[in-house]
Amino acid sequence: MSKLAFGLLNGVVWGTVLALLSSGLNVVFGLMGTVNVAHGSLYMFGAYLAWICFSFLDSFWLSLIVSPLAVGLVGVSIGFLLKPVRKDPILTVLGTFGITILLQGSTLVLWGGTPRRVPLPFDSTFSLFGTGYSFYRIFVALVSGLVLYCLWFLVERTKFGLRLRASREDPELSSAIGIPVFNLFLLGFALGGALAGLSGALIAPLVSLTPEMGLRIFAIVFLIVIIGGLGKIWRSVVVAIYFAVFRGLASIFLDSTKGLILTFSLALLVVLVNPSILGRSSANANGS
Amino acid sequence: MQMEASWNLGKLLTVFVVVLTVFGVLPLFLGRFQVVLVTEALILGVYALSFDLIFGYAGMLSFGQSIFFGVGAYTILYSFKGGLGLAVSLLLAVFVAGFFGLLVGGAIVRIKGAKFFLVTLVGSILFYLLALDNRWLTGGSDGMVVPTVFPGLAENYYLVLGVSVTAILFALILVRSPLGLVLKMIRDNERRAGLLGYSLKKYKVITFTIGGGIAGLAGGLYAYTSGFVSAGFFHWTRSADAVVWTILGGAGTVVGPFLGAALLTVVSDILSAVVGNIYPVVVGALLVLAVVVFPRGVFGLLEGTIRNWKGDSGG
Repeated sequence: MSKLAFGLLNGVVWGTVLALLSSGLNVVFGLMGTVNVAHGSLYMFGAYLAWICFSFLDSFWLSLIVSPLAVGLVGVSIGFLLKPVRKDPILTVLGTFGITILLQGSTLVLWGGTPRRVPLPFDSTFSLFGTGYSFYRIFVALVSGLVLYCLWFLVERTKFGLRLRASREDPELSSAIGIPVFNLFLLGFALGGALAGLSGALIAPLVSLTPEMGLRIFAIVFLIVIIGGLGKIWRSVVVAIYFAVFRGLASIFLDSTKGLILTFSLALLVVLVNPSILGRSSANANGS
Repeated sequence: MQMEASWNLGKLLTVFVVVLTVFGVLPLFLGRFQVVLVTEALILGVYALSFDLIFGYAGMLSFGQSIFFGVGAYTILYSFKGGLGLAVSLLLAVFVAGFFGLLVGGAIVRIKGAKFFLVTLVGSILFYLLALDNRWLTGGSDGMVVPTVFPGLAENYYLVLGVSVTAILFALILVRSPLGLVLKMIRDNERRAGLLGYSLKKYKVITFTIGGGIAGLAGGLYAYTSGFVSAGFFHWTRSADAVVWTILGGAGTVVGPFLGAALLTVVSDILSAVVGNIYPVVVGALLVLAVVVFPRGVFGLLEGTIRNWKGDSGG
């Protein structure tokens, strides 16, 4: 019973962070039709920045500002770099995949392949069925939830969001009525990068950091966005929590590798058999 | 691609004979280490070619080639353990990997564009995890030794050269066959091909099967010449390698994948002697550069240069 409660709570916490990360990909892919394969590496980069803030500036908290800003800047640079090919989905996948290799390789050169750890910024716990549960995890879930709410508000309730959605629906018409489509494209990349950076910084104290941490999580996050539906932030949250809870419970009752295999297989099955299981996601996807 | 059309059979044959002769006498001039390097580059070229047929000719951006590479490698292992000979084992590797290609291709053929990339990426992650998890079958990350008597470097080289030439000839014939022409049409204008009544799914699955078989052949050769297989053969980075080599060499050409594989094998070798971990940085930068500046790869660049030499305006 305690295992189950533990797994559920952990799943919800991980799910909200995954949702935050996937929302960054969603802004770029779902709202702009461009797949940024480097999104996972941006997250990795954000996590390493948290480690740097902790090790060299002696303040983990600083990274919650530094990571989103710095990684957002990297995001903008990627947008600039890909300007010539941004209308070709295959070339953008290949280009951002190149950036993934580049970022991963640079991290390896700069900070080595040995796993890095960031200690918990506060180590108070509360008791949950006899085991201690860290408050920091709750903090992570709360921050993620808050940022997700702000993002939803930005995309669905502001003029900026309206323009973003318009330029995705019909770039030519949008540009004709005076929406600066390319600037929005860059802003979308900045926003996506900032969200990846923030997720990376938040998660840094909970995992061990390696240069390879980016691509597997990219696959997970991309699955979440596809299953949840492009451009749908709240649906991705639900799918992300499902995903994390399922994986958490599977890892507890099987083992970590088997749990991951089961989760990936199930997610793949959903994508293959019924891509529109949660509504009109496939109708959107085919357009891009 | 205009180039292909302007090349007549005579020219092609001349180039082919010259290149073959050069490769035939190459071991006489190279040191032991270089022979190993060229052998490896040729195998990896065959592997990259398998991706190129799927992507460059049929337009499917697959990150799943490592699945078939791994299946081919393990087929060789178990075929040798079962006491079968080399030729039979290699054929078996082609057929078993091709069968996996048929299964996987059949399952994912409906998926398009960026989603296709995702599904194949997840597929190769999944196969890698399965290989890690089933140690009794694969030996996990420690791997297994292929039970074979080492025949000698030169023998290996000529075997690999022979197989590579066969694969190239097969690919050249394939892309000029009616099937190859339909594939090109699907790549360039899927809708039109569908409207003309071609069964897109059928052709895509056929290509995926052939690509799987060729990747399996490369995996089998790799396992045979290195005498070792491990779960790492399935790792997605191996899928990515095929993608990178092909894009850099020139997608949609038969020679491009070999150029890319050879170039990067040499670059990797030189760089690892200079600075430890710099190779991925260079490859990533090259890939971005290729995508943005020269999407037709090194082969495309060469082609352009040759055409400028001749002052050839059309093609």
